[in-house]
Amino acid sequence: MHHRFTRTHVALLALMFGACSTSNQPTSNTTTEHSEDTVALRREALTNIADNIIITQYADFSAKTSALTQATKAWNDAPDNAEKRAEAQQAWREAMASWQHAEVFQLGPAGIMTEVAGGEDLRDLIYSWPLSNACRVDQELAKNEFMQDGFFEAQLINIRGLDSLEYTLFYAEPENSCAPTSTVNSSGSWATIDNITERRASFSYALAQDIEKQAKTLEEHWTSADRDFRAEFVNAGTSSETYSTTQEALNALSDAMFYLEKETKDMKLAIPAGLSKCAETTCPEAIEHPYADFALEASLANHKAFQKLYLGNAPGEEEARGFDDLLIDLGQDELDAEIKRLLEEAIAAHEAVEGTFSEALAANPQQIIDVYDASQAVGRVLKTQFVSILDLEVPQRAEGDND
Amino acid sequence: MIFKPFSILDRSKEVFSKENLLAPRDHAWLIVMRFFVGGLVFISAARTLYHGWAEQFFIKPTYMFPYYGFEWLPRPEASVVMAMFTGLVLAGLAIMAGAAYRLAMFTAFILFTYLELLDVTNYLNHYYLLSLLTLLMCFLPAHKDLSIDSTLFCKIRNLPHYSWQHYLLRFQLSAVYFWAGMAKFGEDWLLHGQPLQIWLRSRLETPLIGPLLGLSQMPMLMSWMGFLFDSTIWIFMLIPRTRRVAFLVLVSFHISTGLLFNIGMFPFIMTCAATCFFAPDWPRRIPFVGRLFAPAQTSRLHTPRTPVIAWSVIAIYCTFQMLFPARHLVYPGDVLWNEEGMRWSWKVMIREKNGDITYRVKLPERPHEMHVPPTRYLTDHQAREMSGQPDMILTLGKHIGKLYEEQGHKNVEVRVDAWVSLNGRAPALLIDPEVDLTKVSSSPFESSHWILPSPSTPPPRLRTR
Repeated sequence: MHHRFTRTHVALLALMFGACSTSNQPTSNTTTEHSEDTVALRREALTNIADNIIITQYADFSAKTSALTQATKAWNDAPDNAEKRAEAQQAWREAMASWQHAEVFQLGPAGIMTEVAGGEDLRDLIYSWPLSNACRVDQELAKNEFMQDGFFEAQLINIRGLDSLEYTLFYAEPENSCAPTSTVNSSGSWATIDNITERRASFSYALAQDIEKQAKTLEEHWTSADRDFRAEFVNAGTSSETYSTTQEALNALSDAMFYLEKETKDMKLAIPAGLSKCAETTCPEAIEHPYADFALEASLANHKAFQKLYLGNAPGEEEARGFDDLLIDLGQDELDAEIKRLLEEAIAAHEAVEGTFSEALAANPQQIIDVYDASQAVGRVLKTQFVSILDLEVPQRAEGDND
Repeated sequence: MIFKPFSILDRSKEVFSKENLLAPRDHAWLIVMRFFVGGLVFISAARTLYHGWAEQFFIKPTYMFPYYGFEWLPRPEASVVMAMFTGLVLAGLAIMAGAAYRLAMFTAFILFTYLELLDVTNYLNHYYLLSLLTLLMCFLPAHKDLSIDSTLFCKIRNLPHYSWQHYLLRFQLSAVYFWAGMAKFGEDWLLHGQPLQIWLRSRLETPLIGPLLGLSQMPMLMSWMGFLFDSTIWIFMLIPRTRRVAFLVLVSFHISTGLLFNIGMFPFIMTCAATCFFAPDWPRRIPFVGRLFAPAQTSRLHTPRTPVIAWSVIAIYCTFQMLFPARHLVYPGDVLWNEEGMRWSWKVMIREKNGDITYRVKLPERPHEMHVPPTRYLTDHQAREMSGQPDMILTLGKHIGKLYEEQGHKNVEVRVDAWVSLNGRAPALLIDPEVDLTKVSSSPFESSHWILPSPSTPPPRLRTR
């Protein structure tokens, strides 16, 4: 310690006597320009991310939900037609793949009202995982009131959205998911359903219509003249009432990116792989999409969406402003290269998995653990050097003093 | 100005003579200090209730990090927490009004300190200072004028106010500034301008001064200014000739740091408390206000009775305040990294630290380790705070081990992957990942071999154009 103190002392004295003049730090004679350049760069990144990533993704998802509604309508018209059901399932997969990109964009209207600036709770109306509740869906199937006007508006989120639709589309057993003691079984209401497939097809169509409506609402919140959250986002620091600086808007974006760490890594990957909250060696019952076996695609989509936010564009597309440009602007090329490398490795780990998520979990859980490890490596840099260099706040969900 | 060491020595002897320490002092400054401290207690508690922080920080957490030696403190129920903050609001009002002053000040000290000792996560230097101020003020007759107490009980007006009481507060404030300055005497701060470079680059849109913050020289300039300010301002505040200018500098400094950083009550507490450096009669010079005060006692009404034990307690307190903040020098390594001696030492805003923590729990019956993120037991705020602090990481590790044992597991081993970035450096391991945390002592008096050395590389220098 003494040695360290002395070294510091000497170095500081040297600095006081002019050693600082040998610094290789570039000097600035156009400070104001530089500040404006940096802020302009941030605004370019925000504009690109809003227009070419978030809104584009919402538009894609909205189009996919229209197709999903058509496909479920076709199945509803012919509930015993297995091909129609398969087409509806495929439409769900495509919509879900699109939404899993949007899962990482939970800022503004998609975010939680009490925790996110501009939050309108719209995400939960589209996809309520991990609050999904198959038994509640079965109870509504038995009640058969879902075609009534205003039905979904009066319901909790756990019987709405893509997760409920996954259950009605993919679960084909005649039984329900409730306990034998549950009212739906003890009262005999489940037993009164004549044709469970027909009922599920009907509920699927109702669910798809609601999802399509919510998808359009979310898109309109960003693009319509009366809502126009896009303007709030890209005009951060000027006319925006939600974000007083571009830094705040970037922070909102970075908070959303922590989805990869908290939801994807810690919940979607760690729990089924038996690394966390799992009493057995693995916990296949905890996978994100148990009926469609779509968890691997979901996790991959989350990582690709994160990568897109970071780069400002998908790999192979024309270079556009993203977080990578902000790091390079600060001279942090090494860190940028490291993040790009880790993201590519995480995506490669997904692509190296043989079979579906549940198949891999059964045959060789190490494949899922490898995906988890690769994702953890991304999260490590995100939570440490990335937020430090850009001075981004790690999500805290509560403000307080500091000193 | 000619430096006269012997005159300073003579002056010190004069100041610290028993005759001078026990000389009667004008109480005007003390009455104003009472308003300030009462007001700060009131505002601190009221804004905690208003912003919902009482619930967020004291009720919502399922686990709280106990302070070493204070593990026995019982955690109050939600209703009691709310009652305690309400009590603080009322105590603050009572202090300002001078109603049951000593009881109100003691209540404020007990309630505030108790709440702060519940969870290490909530440690803030300015809260510590407020605790100390309420403690010291308990012993000062700040209700002898302009108070309900003195209106109701005439005897209170005659309570003696001695010079040493004024000096004690000045000493406390000087210690805060001095040690805050010494904390900045480090390579990252003075040679690399970090973490200020990182912080300033994210504040380019600050009104008026934003563009200036982008100056390549600004981080170093502000680092040195901060260091010199903290190290010397208390000296200039003690010297009558420089006091007014120094106070203007002090106010400007605290206003600007308050505008730049999210430091809540800190600028207000420091600015209000710094008025103790002024001559004791300074409030009498304020137009209209000055005439409200009763005349100062110029001669002793009582024979001073300050027993030896009182002098001893004061001496111990001052010695503690002089030495305790320097305890990091006893520990090997960099205090910014190992955090040993970080708290209670006025190391204010000197590091940018972010960590990624994953506990690994080894159960004999399982083939591979369980991975446990801290957020399973902590709020996001707690997880953020603990991620760079080894003692908190150790405490939670032990807690996790205990929880698994309570579930019936035997021979539980808990290790941690703690990757931490200090002042923008590449993440490095903070804690030895091979060490079983359940077997490590959490005593601050034992060697922390489980904490790995700090990175030897300098912090990154952000490019400016």
